[in-house]
Amino acid sequence: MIRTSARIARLALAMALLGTVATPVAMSAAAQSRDAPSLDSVTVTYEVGGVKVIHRPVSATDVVAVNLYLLGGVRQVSADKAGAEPFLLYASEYGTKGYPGSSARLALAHTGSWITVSATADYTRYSFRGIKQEFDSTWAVFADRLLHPTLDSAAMTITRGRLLPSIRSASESPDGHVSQVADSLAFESHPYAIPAEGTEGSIAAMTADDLRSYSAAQMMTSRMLLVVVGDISRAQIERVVTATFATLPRGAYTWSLPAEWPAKAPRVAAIQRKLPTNYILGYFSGPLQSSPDYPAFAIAVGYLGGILQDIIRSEGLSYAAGAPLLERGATGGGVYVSTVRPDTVLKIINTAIDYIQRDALPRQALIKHAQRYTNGYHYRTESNAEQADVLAMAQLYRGDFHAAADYGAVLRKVSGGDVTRVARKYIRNIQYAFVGDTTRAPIKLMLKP
Amino acid sequence: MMLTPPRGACRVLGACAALVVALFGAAAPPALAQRATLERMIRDTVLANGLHVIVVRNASVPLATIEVVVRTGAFSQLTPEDEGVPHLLEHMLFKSGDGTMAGSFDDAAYKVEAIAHNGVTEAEAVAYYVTLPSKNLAKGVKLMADLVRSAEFEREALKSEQRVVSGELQRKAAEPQYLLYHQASQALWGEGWSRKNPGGNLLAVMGATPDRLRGFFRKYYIPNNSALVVTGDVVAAEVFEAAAKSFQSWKQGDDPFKGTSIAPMPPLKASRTGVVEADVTDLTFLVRWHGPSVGTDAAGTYAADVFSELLNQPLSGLQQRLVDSGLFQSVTLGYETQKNVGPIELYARTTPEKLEAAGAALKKEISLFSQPGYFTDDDVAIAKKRQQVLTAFQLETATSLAHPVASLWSVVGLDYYMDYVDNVRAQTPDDVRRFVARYLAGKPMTLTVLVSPANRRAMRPTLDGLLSKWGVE
Repeated sequence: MIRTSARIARLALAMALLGTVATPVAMSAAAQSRDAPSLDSVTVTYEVGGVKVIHRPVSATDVVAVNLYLLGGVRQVSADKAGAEPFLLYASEYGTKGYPGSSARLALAHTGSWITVSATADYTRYSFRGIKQEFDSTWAVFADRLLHPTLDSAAMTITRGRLLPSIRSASESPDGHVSQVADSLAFESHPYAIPAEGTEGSIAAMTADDLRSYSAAQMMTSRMLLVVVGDISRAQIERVVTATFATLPRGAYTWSLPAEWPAKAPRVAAIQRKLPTNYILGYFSGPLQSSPDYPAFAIAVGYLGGILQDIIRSEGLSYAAGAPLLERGATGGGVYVSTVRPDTVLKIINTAIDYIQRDALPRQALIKHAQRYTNGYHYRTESNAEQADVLAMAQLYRGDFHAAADYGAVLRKVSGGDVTRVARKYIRNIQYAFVGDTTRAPIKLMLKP
Repeated sequence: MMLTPPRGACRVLGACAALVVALFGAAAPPALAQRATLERMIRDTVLANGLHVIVVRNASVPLATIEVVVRTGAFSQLTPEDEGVPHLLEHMLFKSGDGTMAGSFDDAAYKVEAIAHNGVTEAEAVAYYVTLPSKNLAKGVKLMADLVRSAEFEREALKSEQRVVSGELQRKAAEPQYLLYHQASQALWGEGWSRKNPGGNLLAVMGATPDRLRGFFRKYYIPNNSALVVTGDVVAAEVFEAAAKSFQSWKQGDDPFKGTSIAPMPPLKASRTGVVEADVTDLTFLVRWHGPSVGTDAAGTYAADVFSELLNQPLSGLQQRLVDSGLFQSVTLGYETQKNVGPIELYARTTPEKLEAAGAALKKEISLFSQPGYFTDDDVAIAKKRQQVLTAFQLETATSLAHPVASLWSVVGLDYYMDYVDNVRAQTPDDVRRFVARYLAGKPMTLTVLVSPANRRAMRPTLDGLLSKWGVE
């Protein structure tokens, strides 16, 4: 224990010293974010027939990314209809009014574009990625799939046959298993308890009429956020949206962030599974991304992850250790490790948390963290599709699409005291999942308040 | 550090044929030779010590990826004691450098504001990379030079890293899909498996000594057996200057392959079948064949990639018969470009209740590969369109271009990469048919099935019947 504490202190000192040799912040930020402000300055928002649009008309490549966010996610369904929205959109691949049978796929195949469906706790992302020359022809299929899916028995059977094995197999991988257990523990009394892709029960029982009812009740323009990045004009967007999605009712949906999920006490769910190593994942609740505490929280989690990775790996205790940041509506952080020595590793985790809650991060380390965010922002926004997602997340979670590019400046204002205070406030009452040899689960250490 | 590639890169090149095609294919009208286009975008030089330096410019964001690749990997595991040494050595290098590496690589990477850094051990390449702001290019090149130029293998550090590698292998052994891949590989390669296993054998990894690592390092980690690949917002002249400055003290060595004969992979003389039991709900079929060796049949590698793309299209006959029919959840075919026999592999996932019908349909489908009219002109047109669009996608992400270039350099050399697009575009239906006839039609294959113990018990007669007839026409 003493050795670990000393090691953590040395690491913090090293990070501080490393910060002192960094390029001055102002110069660095200017050099690194040279294209972010200019891209933001050409990005506009407007509304077309009730659909909110974020539009970044860039012409560096022929690629066009179109992301339609159907807002609300799991809050739009009851448990017995979990996964209805992604089911509907997947099934639409097998026929629409305008493109019956396989002609929807054939028409799309000739464009070379890719349509994807991604269900999350907060929204369903229905998107396509293609080249600008095929924008209109891709949009035609894209829109018809959402507006006029046939949902015939073949489409329902094929889609169900693909979804059920996918849901069943989610916990085959130990990482998937430990995630499921941690989710079920942390979000037990929260809307996030409903799986976005549905459950075996809900998908097995879903009928075409269920999906039609869902569509009639939920497909409304007030639930839609459309983000387009690429060499497409506003006139083009207005034309295609007016002819398609804008024909839907506006509805009365208003986006809001979900409630936080503060846990009242630490808990552990230990699952016996014969594995060569043990998997541990614990979650703790965080502030909403719109909260003044969030930047310091993100730094605290990042710092915790760096310490754990450095110490646990260098001690030869694990190949994989870290601290995930749950960047969604109801945020959180976590600790993660796979190890054959869970007791030793949990002691290190608890000591690292104590340290972060006690000793303020040096200023230089904080500056470095802000620099890393700015560099990472470029890394995460190389493609138009990535830019579309970053813009949408900033809009939804922080209320303004500019917030992503500006976030480095926000982080630079965080003090060491802020991080310590926020770490004490949020990194507590961890909800732990343990999958492996439960006789070796360090329950007492995981139940640290 | 890991056995998988960095973001966006493709370890299985065949499965990502379109990615390689995609890199630059759309940068010029299709009628133009792509080599000419690539020559305008790629600059390369060879330093006096033999280090090949390759630069790919893409200034979309102010970042660069610097990757050093060494021509080693599983194929250089010539004895049982070697099996895993390249992988362990890859780990150890991060702990044993000098110069800017004097603390640890993580600390040094932190100083150059690295966004990502890691190492990758593959069958025929070992690579190290860092992605960082391009303004720190020179520092990054120096860092990578310090990483690979010299090494010390301190016994305590080795012990610690052996435990980390052990943890990595334990994680893999906990993954049902990896168990399937592992057992299928043993069946496919037979006695040659040790030269196709980049992760390594746990006993060999734990038994490796500093002297063994030192021997590998001295033999393979020389500039004339390595390349430096830099992609992103960089200027070639500046990269060449930084490379010359930082790598010039890396001393040339004897060609590690001169006078060394690497035995050919033992042929698969007859079809083999097997079952892997793990905690899974459904069944996965993995069918594998010995495919082309790029050194002796480069044309076969292009045809293999085209054939994979044709079959993986959602509207291909195979997808309609096997997936849309409801027999399988998914079916994908891929080929991995390798110098010493690349594998062709088909993954297919189904449910226990469909085992009998699905197994029979898959067997029949494979027998159809060589039938006239198995793929249509429209299939080919769609495949080319997909490649055109993927080309545009790949041009967007500069930082992930380094690994495909580096990996192919190690396997076969830069020329293969430069000509790849033109060669793929030149493939005719007859070329693809020749590939099928040479490597697939009636050829021995392995079939390995992943199933839960309970399902195996419940379906033993059906499964055993399927396996016993597999490979029998």
